[in-house]
Amino acid sequence: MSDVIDELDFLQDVTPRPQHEDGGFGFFGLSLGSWVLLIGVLAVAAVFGFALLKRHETQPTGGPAPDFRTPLLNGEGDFVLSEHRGEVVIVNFWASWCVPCRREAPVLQATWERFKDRGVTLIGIAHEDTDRDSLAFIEEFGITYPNAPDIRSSISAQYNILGVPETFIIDQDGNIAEFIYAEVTEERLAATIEQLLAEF
Amino acid sequence: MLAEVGLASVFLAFVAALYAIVVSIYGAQTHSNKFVTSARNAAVLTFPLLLISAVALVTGLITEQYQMQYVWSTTSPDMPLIFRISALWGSQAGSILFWSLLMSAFTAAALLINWHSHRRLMPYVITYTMAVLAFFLGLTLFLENPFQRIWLVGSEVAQTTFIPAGAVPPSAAQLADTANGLNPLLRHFGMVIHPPMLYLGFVGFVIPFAFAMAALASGDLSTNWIKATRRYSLIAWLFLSLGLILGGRWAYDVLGWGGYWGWDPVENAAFLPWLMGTAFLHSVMIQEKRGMLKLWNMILVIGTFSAVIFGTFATRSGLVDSVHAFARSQIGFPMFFFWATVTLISSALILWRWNRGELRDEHAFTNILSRETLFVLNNLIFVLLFIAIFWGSFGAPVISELFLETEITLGVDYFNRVTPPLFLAMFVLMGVAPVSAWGATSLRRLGRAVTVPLMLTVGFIVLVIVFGVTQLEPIAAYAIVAFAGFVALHETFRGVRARVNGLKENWLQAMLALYARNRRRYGGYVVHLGIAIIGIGIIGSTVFQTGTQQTLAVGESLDINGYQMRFNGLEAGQISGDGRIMDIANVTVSRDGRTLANLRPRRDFFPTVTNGPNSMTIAGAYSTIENDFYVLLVGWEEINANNATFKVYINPLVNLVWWGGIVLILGTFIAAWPTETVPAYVRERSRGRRDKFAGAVA
Repeated sequence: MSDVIDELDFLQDVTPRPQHEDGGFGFFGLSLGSWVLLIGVLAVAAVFGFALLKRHETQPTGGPAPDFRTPLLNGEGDFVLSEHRGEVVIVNFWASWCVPCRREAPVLQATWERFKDRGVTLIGIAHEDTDRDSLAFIEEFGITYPNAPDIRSSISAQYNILGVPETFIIDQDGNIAEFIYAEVTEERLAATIEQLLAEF
Repeated sequence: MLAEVGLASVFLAFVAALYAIVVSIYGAQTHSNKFVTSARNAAVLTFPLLLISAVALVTGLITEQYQMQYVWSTTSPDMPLIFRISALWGSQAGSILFWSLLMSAFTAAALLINWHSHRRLMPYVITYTMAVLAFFLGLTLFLENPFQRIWLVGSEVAQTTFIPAGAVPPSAAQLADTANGLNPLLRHFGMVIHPPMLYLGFVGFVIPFAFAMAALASGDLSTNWIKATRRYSLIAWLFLSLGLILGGRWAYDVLGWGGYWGWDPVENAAFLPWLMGTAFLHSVMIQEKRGMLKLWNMILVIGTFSAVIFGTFATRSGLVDSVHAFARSQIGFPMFFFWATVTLISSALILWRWNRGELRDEHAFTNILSRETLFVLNNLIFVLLFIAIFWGSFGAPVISELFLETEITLGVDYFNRVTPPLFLAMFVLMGVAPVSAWGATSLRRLGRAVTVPLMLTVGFIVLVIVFGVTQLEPIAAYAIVAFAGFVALHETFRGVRARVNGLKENWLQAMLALYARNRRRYGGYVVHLGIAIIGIGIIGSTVFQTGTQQTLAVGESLDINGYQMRFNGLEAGQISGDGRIMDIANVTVSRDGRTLANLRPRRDFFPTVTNGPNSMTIAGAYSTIENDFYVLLVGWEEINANNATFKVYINPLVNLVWWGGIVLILGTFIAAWPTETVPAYVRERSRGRRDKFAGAVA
């Protein structure tokens, strides 16, 4: 029985002979033009690969902190990160719609009150939020440290944040000393700040 | 137990797919029927295995096994049954499993149905389909496992598949309390059907792709692969079209911005394979009839599948920003490499065969006015549309971000400027191509064939002007689209009339016989008609949409386009069965003093949802043939419920988009309806062989 089926013609395929020989310049059976096309396809793929790599950059945990300038929510001028060299700067990304941010707000305010006279700046960046909601949030928690909107998500893009809350602690030389990917606690903030203040 | 069963069957399916790849290659090399058959059996086996695993996951979802991480993150105790089931495709891990299941179903069907008719291609078809399936199953097993469970190890929470040492399951009550619930935007009937339709469309194209690759690999470059996959292409195309239309409907109902198509990268990612696939459906006809465009058809089918994978990769990896992309996840790089590999290997194979001179056409183009030339133009326009939309959604943002340090996002303006001329050119060809002949056609003949449709179009335009459209551009657009529709109608009418006059059938008989005798042609005309209806709806609702935003106190009214809308009051804080808090506005819509409808636009807030969007705006709409009165509740004073702000849109002719969709489905069904599954010559041959075999046994 098996020979009957094994004779089936479909498996007797013979690789067809080339119908013509390309006279031109080529390697491995492909003409130069084909190679150019193939490399073009590869190049397009590479562009998307690089884009993906760039997209997957994670939050910086060291090195110079990306500088930014942004108007303050209370209308009192601009905040420019590079103008705060010599201070410890805490950059906190938050939003009024974010539940952990509500728990975090009193912690940040307490930290601010404790360290504000010792060369520490705290800046809140309201991410994907409306100014009205942000201001209501600031009022609700009696926040006195400066806050600014993340206009067109430009600051969060520089820091590659994935969500809120996320917090970066920047040392007196403008380098990122610590990245906190969760709700902050007063102990953790205080420990880093004290250390940076002591070392400077 | 459920998790173990589910995972084990995914694993077995993965092993079966790998086995099928190896054995089918070996079988093809050694020309051994036993091995190829064994590979087929393994390939077919993946379907029941994946079915078991999907059933296990759905059972977990229905019976609230919150210890399963996927169940915990996509459902919550207050969700109704239908959304528990649809949660299977509500999040990344489940949707990849679901995708794999659909793919194995398509593959099993294609292998079993075409086993006898296209055996020469079969070993390679098995290899390619199983390679794609194995990739997705690998994602499920190693990166996006929906069967992980939540454990407590000491005070730490762990998410693993197998029980870690010393772990205990968390208490059921605690799990149920913290369970997330499905993304609220997905709790809509449209979302129950839209993703499966879209996935079926995407997955379906794997069959023509695999057959094309099999043709390239085996050297059987005749029209066999096209004949074998025609119906699968049509079915995939149908589901893709349905998925797109349902997605539009969902956006219209749920996203609350007054439209149904926003040129968002995710929408475009699904539209790109549709464009390529539509071009493919047309150009294969030329290869079948004239033996031309062999190379081009290969490029199109591989381009379609490449676009499917690219879209999946782009929207699930966070490559571009979109309102409804999946979260950035681990599958980005594997998906990217898969897409790049598939595209490169297929391009190399095509070029190899081309360089060997095996994809040369059997006929040359002879006449500029022939159906094949017009089909080529049609293809050109589809490809231009593809390039324009691809550039706008992916090319420009990605390249600008890489090389210019700023991200250029081309918005709706770009698409609204670039695509309409191309779409209109497509409609012109849709009108002219069906009445032109293969080979060559004379202008006079063409003129005669379009006389009646042209007259009907003139009548239609008079009607459009009577209804108050005066600008030249929309009138011209309406005319072009209507002409394409009238040609489809008139061609069908001519066919029916010929039968009535010639065969003395009655009109109904004649029509049924016409559809039965040439399903593809006349089904195709029905599809054309559906597309024309959709086109009219799109022009009306895009060009002539009017809107207003006003704040009304209770008892006040607003006027728009002859409609009055009175705000009767707000029911704030209504709590629904699934835990959502609804603020519902009661409004009455009337026209000329006659009350038409009471609408309840509302805003839903989901307090239990902590990650992702937790509110949605549900429009109220009053539909007539002429237009939709579409109202959104955008805001209200929280302190006193006396004022509410409404956004009102009048969307003319928007319902034609949905109705056209129904016509399109009908047409595709007519075109794809099976007539006979096995070609007569094959049946003949296999019968002969059976007789021979019977004789040998006797």
